[in-house]
Amino acid sequence: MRLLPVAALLVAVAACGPSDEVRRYKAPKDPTWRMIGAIVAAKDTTWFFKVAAPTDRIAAAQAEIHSFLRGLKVGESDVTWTLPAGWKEEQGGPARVATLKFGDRDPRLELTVSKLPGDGGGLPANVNRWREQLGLERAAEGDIAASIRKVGEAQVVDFIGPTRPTMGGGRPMAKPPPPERTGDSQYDQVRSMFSFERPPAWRENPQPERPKVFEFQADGALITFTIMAGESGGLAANIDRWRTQAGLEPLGEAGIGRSATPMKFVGADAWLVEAAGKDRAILGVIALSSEFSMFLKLDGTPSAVAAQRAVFTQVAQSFQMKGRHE
Amino acid sequence: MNNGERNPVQQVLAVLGSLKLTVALLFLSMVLVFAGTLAQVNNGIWTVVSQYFRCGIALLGGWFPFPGGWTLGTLLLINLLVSHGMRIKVQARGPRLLLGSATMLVGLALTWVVITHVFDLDSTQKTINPSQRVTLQLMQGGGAAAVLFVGCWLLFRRKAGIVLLHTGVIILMFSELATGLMAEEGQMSIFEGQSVNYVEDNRTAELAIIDDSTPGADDVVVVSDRALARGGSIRLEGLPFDLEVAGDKYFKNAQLAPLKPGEPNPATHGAGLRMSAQNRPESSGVDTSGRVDLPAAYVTFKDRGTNAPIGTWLLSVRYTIEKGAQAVRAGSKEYRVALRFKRTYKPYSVYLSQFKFERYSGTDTPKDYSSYVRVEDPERGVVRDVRIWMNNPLRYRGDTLYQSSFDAETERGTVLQVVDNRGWMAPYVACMIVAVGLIGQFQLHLLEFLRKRRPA
Repeated sequence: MRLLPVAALLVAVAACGPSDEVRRYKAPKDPTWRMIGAIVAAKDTTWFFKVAAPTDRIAAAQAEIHSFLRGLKVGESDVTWTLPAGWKEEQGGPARVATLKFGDRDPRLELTVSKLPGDGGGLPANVNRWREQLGLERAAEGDIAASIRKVGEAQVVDFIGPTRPTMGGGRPMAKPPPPERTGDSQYDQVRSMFSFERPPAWRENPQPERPKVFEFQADGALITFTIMAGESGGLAANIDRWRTQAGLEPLGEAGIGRSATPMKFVGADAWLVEAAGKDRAILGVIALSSEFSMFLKLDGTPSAVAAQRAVFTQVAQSFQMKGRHE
Repeated sequence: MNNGERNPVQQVLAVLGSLKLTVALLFLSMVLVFAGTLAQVNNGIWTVVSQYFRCGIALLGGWFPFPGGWTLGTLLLINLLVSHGMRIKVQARGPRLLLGSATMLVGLALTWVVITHVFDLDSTQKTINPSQRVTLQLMQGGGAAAVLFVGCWLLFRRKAGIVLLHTGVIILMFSELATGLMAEEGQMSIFEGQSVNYVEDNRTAELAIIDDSTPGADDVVVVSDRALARGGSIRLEGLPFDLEVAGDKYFKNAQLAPLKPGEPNPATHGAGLRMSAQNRPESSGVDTSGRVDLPAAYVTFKDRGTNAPIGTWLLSVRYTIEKGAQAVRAGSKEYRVALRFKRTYKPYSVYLSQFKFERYSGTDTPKDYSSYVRVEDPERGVVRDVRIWMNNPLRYRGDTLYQSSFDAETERGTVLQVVDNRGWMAPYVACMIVAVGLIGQFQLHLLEFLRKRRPA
């Protein structure tokens, strides 16, 4: 019988959870991240130079970075630079011209160089992209202009924010590489089958609604990539669907000749389709086969679609599918 | 003695210590385990653990009341203690009783030392081969169990092994209780060149309201996800505003999507003006991808004095991970608010010097993951470089830091699993005690059998 109080206590403990539902405490300040970014306009391209790291490490290298940026030279079609003593240059991937390593002073610090055709989406869009990567709010154009400093030929911004500026987010991700996003591994496998250049100015929605596989936004334009089973009604029906969405009359089979241009997409025969209405325009790639159909689509106002046309075309050409043989 | 001769206390003890009750409780435990396993089809493993096993009452299938794991464990413990108290008597008298009691005390003290000496293990100073470490720990547990067996033999004679093995079972049950109540587990995510002094528990979320206006340290108020999930108003002591969560606007798992034209939107400020939260099913226990739930909520902040809404924000763990906290202005002061994984700050920090992911030559097959870290503990004046790699965790100040994952995008960030479970050694010791008890009991019976055969 003497055990009963003990039992009652254990049951009481079992039934009660912790009660600390609202707590208050002092916490050390979170580390901040600093980014120095430079944009240099060449004749037909725009070049981007970026270095990001914990704030104290950038502070230690700040003079060196500014000295490097001051030495950038704009040529006829490209930008050249002189490596500071100790720096090393490595070739970048498809979306990166070069990676410049700082050498022994900070082996993990690197400055990336990339370029895009035209104005690369424009100065405000790119500065706001960098701000968002650092976890900062988007800024108005006037505030952006005020934050830009001219260093040699480069327009330089210098921001400090709470988030590590990577595409994947502000911290290393354990499994789930939280791109959970879509809810089933088969769908993630489909995503992993494709590789393509991701323009830095395009903001990806990591959780596109099905059947979209990828979705991006870029200054008022929406870019989507969708896969459907089978031929999805055929080419003429899909052209008419886009024409109707753009506020144009359907043309039936005649639309193929008037709106579509043959091209190659991930090694397969495809059509570049354009439907430009008064308020809405669609530029897209349609690749049909008896197994599945692919749709890469740029959708927005006519001006937004026109602004993204060159970048969209470059992305379409860069699309690759693993295991697909041409 | 029949029931008619027993007093009420004896009758109750007879029921509590009966073998029928043991069988019934074990059967109920099997039903609970079976139901808990089925529940993981639709629920996350930690949801099932808390709603079926680490609770007093479980609701099977969400509605059928059933004794929870802690109730069954408590009843089994009582059943075990009462049945032993009623059936097993101390056989020793005089000096043997004293010697047996003293040996038992020494054995229990040794057991306690073996279980608790790991509290202050500091593997920043030396590294032990993992196989040697486990062997050594089992030997330590076995040594304590041997002393206990001698004590049991002196006190209980031919039932010594039975008493000892059930002592091991009791230690096992208490270790689970201690783990359920006190163990903390989280992840430390660090990029190269970064120092981190907190862990995040990705099974639990919290809403943090941060006042970073003072130099040196932030003033933080956190609200648990339990309080948010209940909905309604929550008073925030020390802040000029309170918060309110609409009953159906807390999502245990949510995805963010761009806001569609015309879509109803509770948010009036912040990220919610551009995106909306869509409810997703909880990650289930049978999901092999290891996904975690990413909660989200629409939270309205209200001025304390006037109760007038300051605004409604969409707060989401995913948004916090990718973009950080959002700003809430109250009067002239700005606060940062974030729904994030629950944080626990540590008295030490871990700086990641380098993360190495080595593959077998010419393949993508992983060969080794290593985090080269520097442990910095201002309180103890410790600054040490340590390598953490597979099966070689760092043990420091009661925490065990395992190499868990890494940043797949850059391969320059590591994820360390940080476990603070002071009772982790207890199951090893308990198993050794049970093993020694079983072996001892068989030996006693064998010796008795051989002794009986000798005269013939």
